[in-house]
Amino acid sequence: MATNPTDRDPLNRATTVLLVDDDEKVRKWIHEELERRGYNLLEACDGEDALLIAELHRGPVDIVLTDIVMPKLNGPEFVKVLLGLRPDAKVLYISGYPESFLRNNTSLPSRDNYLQKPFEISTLIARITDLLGS
Amino acid sequence: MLRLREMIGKVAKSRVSLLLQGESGTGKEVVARAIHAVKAQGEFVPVDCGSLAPTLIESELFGHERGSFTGAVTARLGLLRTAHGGTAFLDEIGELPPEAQVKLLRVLQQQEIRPVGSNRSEPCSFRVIAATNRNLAEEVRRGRFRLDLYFRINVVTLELPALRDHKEDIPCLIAEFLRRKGYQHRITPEVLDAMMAYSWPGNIRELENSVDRLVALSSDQYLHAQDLQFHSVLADSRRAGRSDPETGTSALAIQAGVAAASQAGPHRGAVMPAELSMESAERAAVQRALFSAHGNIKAAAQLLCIGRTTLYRRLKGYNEDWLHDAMEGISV
Repeated sequence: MATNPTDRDPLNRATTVLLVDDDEKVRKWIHEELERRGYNLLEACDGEDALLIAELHRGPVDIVLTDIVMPKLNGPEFVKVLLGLRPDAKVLYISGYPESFLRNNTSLPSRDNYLQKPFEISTLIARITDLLGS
Repeated sequence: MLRLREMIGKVAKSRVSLLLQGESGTGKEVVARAIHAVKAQGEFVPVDCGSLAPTLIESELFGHERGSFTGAVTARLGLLRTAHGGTAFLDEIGELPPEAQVKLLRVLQQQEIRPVGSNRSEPCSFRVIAATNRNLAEEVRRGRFRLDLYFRINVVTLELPALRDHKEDIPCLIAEFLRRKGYQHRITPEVLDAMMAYSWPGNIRELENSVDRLVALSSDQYLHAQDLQFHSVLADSRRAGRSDPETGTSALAIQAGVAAASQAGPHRGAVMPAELSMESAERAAVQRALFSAHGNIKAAAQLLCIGRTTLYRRLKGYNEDWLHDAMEGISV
């Protein structure tokens, strides 16, 4: 399990989250809130930068929080490539669009995890904990 | 090297924070400038975190208002505010004291800055390219560097190799240094052989300085082997029997230290100083390091693999006449 303190290097003991969103305010808010709760955060403003981090970051990436509608590379397109680089990473999509709209109008697979904005930080953490436990 | 070049090309197009890791002289600032130049947005502001005076560090980095402390007769913008919209190159980031680490983290989190003595915060965001010749992960494990700041700056790490690990590039590098400075000189096979055999503890910077020196000493269009001056026992042991005119010994390998010198053995030439006491060996090592570092204490300490304060302490212990002799001939 990703959060087990005994099987990881002290530096990577906490869960590492890759946060991908083109909205700077959303990134700043999630980054600060999760960082304050002991998560390690990596931040990207689009799918291309996120793939670069997934490829070149030396530590683990436990969970990816990604927006869906983004310039350059949208969320599902980015995740497809990401899972080739980081097959163990869990993915949680976050977006302002209603889930039913996204399922019908984007390539978001029906089985993928989704959390609609706006959300409470406690809800986000509960979803992260669920995903990492699964 | 191709891999590094590829990685530089990739990261230059992005805005991700970078950590450049490599020994002194491997070209960390050159790489940082090259990355900044691809987008060329805003200014490139180099900040040497290791050379900032502890008492002035906050004012240097974050700026201050006029009259905010004794001596602050004018307001100061601060290095990070100068980098707003551009790139801050935070060299020797591992040297940043804990209080400044907290403040830097806050600037990166909030993307705003509050100068010393001011009640107002101002917007301040920049791309971070940090550099260190320390193992920053180890510094985090030892509690000397903040984990949250580490993750802010170390999204992607680029490792810059030591020159001894990519000696095949030496001929190209020499040609490039000569071309860039407009020198018409040619290199002789003897010089190239000697350069390929040397361990280059000062890396590319030392190679460039050596080329400059050879050009300056040459009276024709060739670079001559007799003008070479290395400070490594490995190179010296290859030039067996040739003794250093200044000390009467071959130059000591500062990094390899006394152990390497003894391995080289007396049959390879006068590697050890005439006096075999630890004290004289240590003094010789200090003298060579000061010479190699052109009198720069910090760089000399790095060559000796000891802290700057330790070197200061050692120097204090030596008498003034010795120091005068040791410093003589060093071009600062």
